[in-house]
Amino acid sequence: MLLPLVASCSPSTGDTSAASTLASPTYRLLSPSDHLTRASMAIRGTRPSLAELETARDHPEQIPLLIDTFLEDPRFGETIKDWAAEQFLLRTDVLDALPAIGPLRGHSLSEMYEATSESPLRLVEEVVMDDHPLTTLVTADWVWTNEAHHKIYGLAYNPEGPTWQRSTWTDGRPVAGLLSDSEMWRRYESAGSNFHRLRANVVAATMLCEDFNTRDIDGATGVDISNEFEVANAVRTNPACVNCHQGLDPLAAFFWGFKKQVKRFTIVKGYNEDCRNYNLSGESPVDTYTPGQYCYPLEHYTVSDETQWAHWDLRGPGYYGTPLDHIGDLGDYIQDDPRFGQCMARSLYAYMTQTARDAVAPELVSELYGVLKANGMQTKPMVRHIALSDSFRAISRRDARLPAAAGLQTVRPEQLARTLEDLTGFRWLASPDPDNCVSERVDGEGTRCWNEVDLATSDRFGFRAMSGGVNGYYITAPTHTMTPPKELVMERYAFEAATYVTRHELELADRDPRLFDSFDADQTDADSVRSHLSKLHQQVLGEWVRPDGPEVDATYALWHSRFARDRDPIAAWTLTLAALFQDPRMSFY
Amino acid sequence: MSFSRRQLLLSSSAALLASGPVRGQPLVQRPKRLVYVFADGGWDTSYCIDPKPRTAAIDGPWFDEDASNPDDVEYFAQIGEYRIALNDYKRPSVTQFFRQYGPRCSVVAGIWTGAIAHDTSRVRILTGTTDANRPDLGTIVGASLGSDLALGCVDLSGLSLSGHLAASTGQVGFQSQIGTLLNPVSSFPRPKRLNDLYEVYTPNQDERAMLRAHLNRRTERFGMLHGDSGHNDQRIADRLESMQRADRFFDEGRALLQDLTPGKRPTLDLQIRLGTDLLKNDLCRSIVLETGQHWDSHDNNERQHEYFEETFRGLNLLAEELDAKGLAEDTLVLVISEMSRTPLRNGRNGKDHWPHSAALIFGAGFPTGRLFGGTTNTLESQAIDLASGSLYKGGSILKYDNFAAGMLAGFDIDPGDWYPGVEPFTGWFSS
Repeated sequence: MLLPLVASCSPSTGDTSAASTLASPTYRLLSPSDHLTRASMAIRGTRPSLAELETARDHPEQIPLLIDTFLEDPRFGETIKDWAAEQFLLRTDVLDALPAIGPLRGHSLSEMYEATSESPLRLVEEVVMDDHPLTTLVTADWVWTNEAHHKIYGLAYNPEGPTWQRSTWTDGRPVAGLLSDSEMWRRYESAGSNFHRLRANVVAATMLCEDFNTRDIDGATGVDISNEFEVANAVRTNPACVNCHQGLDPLAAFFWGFKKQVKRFTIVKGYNEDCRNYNLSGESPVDTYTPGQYCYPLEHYTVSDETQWAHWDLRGPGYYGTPLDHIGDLGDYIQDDPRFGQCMARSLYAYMTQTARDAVAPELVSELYGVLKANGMQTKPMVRHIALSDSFRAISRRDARLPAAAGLQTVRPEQLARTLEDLTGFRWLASPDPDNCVSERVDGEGTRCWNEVDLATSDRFGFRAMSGGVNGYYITAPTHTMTPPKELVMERYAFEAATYVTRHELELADRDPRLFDSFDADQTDADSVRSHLSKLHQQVLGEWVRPDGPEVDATYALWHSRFARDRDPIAAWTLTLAALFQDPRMSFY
Repeated sequence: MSFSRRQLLLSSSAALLASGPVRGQPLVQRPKRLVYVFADGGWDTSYCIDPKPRTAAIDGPWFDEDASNPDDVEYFAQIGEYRIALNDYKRPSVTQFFRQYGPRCSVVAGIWTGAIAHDTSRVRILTGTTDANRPDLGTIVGASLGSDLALGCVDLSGLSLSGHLAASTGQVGFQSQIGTLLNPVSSFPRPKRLNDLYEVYTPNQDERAMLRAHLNRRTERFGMLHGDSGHNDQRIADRLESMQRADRFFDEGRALLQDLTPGKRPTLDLQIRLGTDLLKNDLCRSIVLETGQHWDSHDNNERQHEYFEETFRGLNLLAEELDAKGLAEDTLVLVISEMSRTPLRNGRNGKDHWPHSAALIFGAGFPTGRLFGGTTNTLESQAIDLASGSLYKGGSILKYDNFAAGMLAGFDIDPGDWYPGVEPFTGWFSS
């Protein structure tokens, strides 16, 4: 079980050194301020403020209250979206964005990408942040939409309202949160005679943690997969196929209302055909889709296609043996299935502790699911439970029978971006487009311009996957350790952010400085510099060090060696900040 | 009965492309380098390295022949034990490749991929497991043979999986982003709307060294405080290793990779030129490349001609580069896809996913002119003797894990360390 943090708060040894660890019969524990840092990074994706760190150091008994504030912080919502993006692999900018043509003309590809990838993630964020039961993910009767998204799908949207708004599907589809979200099923396509089984497995793997794909399919079935009818027959009658397909196919049958694929080029083709509604392939009923359906607003769901499984003599919709009618029923059944809550608990714990999902012990999953159930399936109490447990706070465990210690966590790309922005105000924005991205393609397939991307979290142009993240398609598992590319990314990022700070806070002396409050570049005497370095160690690294201590000695040596070269304090501070931003206390927490 | 040339070529007789004996010796001298070429999307092996007789059971490449074009002729060629499908009109680079390098190649047919979706098949073929958290072959070989180099493996494809060996690997990014890190002058500009133009501080060599020394000391001290003889120590060791490798990557790789254009995916030709430069300069021991073709031909399988043509144009270049750079003797090239395509076309003139793939291997002491494994006339994997690679009814299907384990054995890397309990395919060692 996850031991609560009762013992570890009271016998604090103080926090005079960031290295201090607390005695515990079960785990070697982080100091209170390091524990708060780990909690803040895991929950908000950013480091605690100096004031929060001081509170944790001086009043460790208040850490639970601080964590409560973290759970109400909008940045926790950002973390939840990051988690959901990784769980459902929904951020895929390495794939082509939908074209900005027709009513979408004028939008950049960044806006198209954001509109599509973030919509389902906003539902997850809302469910968690507004304390809905987590099961709302599969029952919600609304969808989040913005200016571009509502044009893509023809949803109601108030242009005078907030950027993102709740709306509802108007095509008659049964509603069931993510299960009925077009963006889920545009990300996960069905090809050939797949008959929506990929989508069924996404439900099983990501919502129930029962991945059919961990099993190999049988190697000698003698089935011609190119023949849709032969496949349809085999999955009902061939003993090598029946075992999996009797569970998988009824789940797949829920998704016949969705288009199998909506790719960028099909929409371009739709517009090139003047959006006329004639039969594209004449292969009814497999592909009754018409060019008109691929013009905005997309007709991504067709109620009359819901029963097309019958044409292929496939199994009808059902949930592990129980026949059902539509996706709404599926949501209801998943809602009542303990595997859903257990799977979400497993996934969130794995995310918070950088553990492989399969490696989370069953008894731990059971415990966390118990917390979920005891709190009406609300997420925050479970996250709080995890953050206050000894194993989460642990450097290492003393008893191998205990849950594994979380141990050192490696900063994720999204966390690094949020942390550096909070510390410095810097975002790693860039305009990556070639000069000719507009060119003549505007009329044919819409703009190819992305306009602006955040390099820290872009995979197409930036460095998320190169610094340990997933790109949602090719790289589907994160890397939780430092790598040579990640070092290069952090080095460049550190100099970008450091230059931004010294330019704005020392050279231009902007208002509201974050790291050089009450400090000027011309203060170059050793005492002033050491004093400020001590503050920066606290503020940036959460490290409580004295101006004359060995840690500041080392950092001062770095500062001074650069300053001594040409007496340029700006350069000296830039180099020093870059060092702090790459420090092991930034890389790990 | 008389046969036209076309019929003759397609029916039974196969042209002998190479003269003299091509069947080489079993593997004795182990390769020191690996070039892993991945055809992402699922190639149609019947169009090249696993051709089948013209029967109604299979829609082979002849399906696309233009009867009015006398040059558009499909035929087979026999090279040692293996046979290939050729068309000098549509796929001249394939012919050129096998004419020149065919005797240096072998084929492994009937590799069972265990899955039928791209992502799950890709993970199986790349890693030899079902787990995307595991390192792939390129990474394992690189880490095992390149511990003394700047990097073990460099991924130029954007799809390599590095798992727990990530600290040994380098990536160029999905669209060559590494270029902006190695050469900051090629960085993407800041958005004009920010109206905030200034030069980002770029440390010189002395400053980088000074900074690195500082971070090394900080990391070592941090490690002393958080050490645990386990997880934490590994994280610290990874960081120290990564910093050292990153510096060498920066110093040694910058010039070699200067032709990358940030914002653009490197073509196969560019991947080949840069990757072989990295190998020649001992920056790494393995590279992972991607063919750059859209192999997933659900809607028009005729495109496979073009995909093979472009890919083998690249493989010709690869072979030339390996020869020219003195790498051919000890570099193994493995060309593979995560799956193949169905024997018959679907209603859209395309072909769907097929879980029986094949691999082309050439170079570096691996036996030549051999056909390991095999498929039926409907492209289904046949049982083989995993020790010899010969068809054997009482044997096993060659699965993705047997194949991956066997590849490691070929590099003298103990497959038991990576695939415990998996019987490695060891046909390379049999005569």
